[in-house]
Amino acid sequence: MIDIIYDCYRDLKKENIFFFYNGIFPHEVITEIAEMIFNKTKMEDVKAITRNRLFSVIVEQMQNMNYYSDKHLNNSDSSVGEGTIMVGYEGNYYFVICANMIEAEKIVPLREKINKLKSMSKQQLKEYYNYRRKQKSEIDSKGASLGLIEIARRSSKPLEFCFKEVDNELSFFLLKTII
Amino acid sequence: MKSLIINHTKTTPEINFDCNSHILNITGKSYPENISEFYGTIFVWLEEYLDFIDNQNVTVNIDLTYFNSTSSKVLMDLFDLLDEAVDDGKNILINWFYDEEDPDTLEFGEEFQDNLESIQMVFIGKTS
Repeated sequence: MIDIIYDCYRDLKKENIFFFYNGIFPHEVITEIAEMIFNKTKMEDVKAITRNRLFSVIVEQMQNMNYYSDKHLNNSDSSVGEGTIMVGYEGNYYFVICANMIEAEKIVPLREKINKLKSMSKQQLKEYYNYRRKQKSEIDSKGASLGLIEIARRSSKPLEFCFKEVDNELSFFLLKTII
Repeated sequence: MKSLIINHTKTTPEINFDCNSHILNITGKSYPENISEFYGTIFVWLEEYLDFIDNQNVTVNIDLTYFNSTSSKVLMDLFDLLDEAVDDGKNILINWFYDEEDPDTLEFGEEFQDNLESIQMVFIGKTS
């Protein structure tokens, strides 16, 4: 057991990941994690714009996981989604990685959605965000479906994402944002 | 009618809508667990208030240090409501407070203004 934990600890250090959490994402957890990382960056005198962007991306990514993860607490229909978040440094940037299980049928629309955002300039993202904000929410959307656009707008580099098939029904979805 | 006062929490802003002084303040952070539950009350109050007033000067102070994308949509709806009221002859002004050290926070306000027809937004910088 200690070997597994030590390997995990060492790998996280090696990747400059200073925060790691795996579990469910009820509102209270989202709030605590976001505030903890905000306070850390405040103590470290990180520029206000970077600090606020990091906070924003962390909140949006965790809320997306809570809404859209297809693995829930105790495998129940509970609305609390399960997943993983990692926050770390990469050169002069911060990165936020979130990963969660999604149903196979959701892969294609999600891939299209993210690729569309990746192809847009910052100005196009701004226009798209404002256009979507003026529209009525989609029926299946628990948020305003603006979350991903918000994440893309706050990121300093193009979003990175991938899927790993777990079984016939589920895949592991990973999204990385660099701030 | 009665003023609307709601204390802030970690993820919901303080609401202080004073129907005597006609100063409506939204202050703090906004990323509620249940967006419609929180803002529902506020919209109900506002609609009643807009019927209640004539052409008094109304000041809306928005001083939010953070709002998530869902709140951003609700704020847009709220400003649209105020915008329509201005079209109907009401005198409403929005003060948008931003952090001078974070240009994004000014841009958030300007983007709202760009999407509004009639209501005037004033941008007020704060040093943190």
